[in-house]
Amino acid sequence: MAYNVLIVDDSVLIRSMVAKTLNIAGINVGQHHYAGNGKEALDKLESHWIDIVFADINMPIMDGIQLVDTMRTRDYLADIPVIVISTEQSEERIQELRSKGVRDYLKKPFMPEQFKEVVAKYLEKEQ
Amino acid sequence: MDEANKHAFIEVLSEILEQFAFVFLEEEPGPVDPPEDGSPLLAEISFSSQNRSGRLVMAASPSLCAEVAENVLGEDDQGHLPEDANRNALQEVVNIACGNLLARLYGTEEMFELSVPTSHEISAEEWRTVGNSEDAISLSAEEEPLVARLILEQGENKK
Repeated sequence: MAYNVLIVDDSVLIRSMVAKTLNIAGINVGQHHYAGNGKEALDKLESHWIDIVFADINMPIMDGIQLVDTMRTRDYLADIPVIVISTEQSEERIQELRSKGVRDYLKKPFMPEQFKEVVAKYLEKEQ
Repeated sequence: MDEANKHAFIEVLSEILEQFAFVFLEEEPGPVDPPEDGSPLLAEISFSSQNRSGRLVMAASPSLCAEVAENVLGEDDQGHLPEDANRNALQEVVNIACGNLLARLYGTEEMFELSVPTSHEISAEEWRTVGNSEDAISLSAEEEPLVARLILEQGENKK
């Protein structure tokens, strides 16, 4: 099964890197979708079928936490797995993200093996 | 910046550049000259918590930024790199360095708010001003100059 992914980061470099890492990790990706902030991500989510979201926290216009909050208020988006990829490491922040329904957290920089391990957990559940 | 923090800063930066971009860092004994291959880039991020606030600043040559971008994406031809890849690369290094350095210096119990990193070109004169600051760390990577500063504006620099 091929999965449609949405990669949300204000850095075009990181968006490309995550897409490449998905490829290296052997994840079967159908469509790649990209957004530079939470608002753009919501637009993509409204107009495309997305199986999993990878989101940064610190972004202009709408950050990753606001994106997750908004997704949880919309029934048709609430169950899409969100994995946060960020540099922030405080226990309180990670707890906050989990309490909002974020499935997992990857600290930057990450290795393709770590990425695969996390992603496989959630995509396998969707099968 | 005391010696312990300086050591932690260099260690974190080395680890990140090696892991993120396969670039190896060396500490230089004194201020490094501005690059000769074009206008240097300066990237900056600010942070704040209940206990402290400050900024992390890095300036690098365009060649080094391009190398980081190429290595991150596995591209060996700049023609294939996304637009603004050099700026993006330095901004991301600053972003990752800041999160990891704050966790190293102050632990993970303290919650920091980080800004969105910004970047701009600077002149050779501005490079020297950054590099000659008391708390500046002079480095080189792949024989290209790099200057970094951790500026604590409020709070103790100890946990």
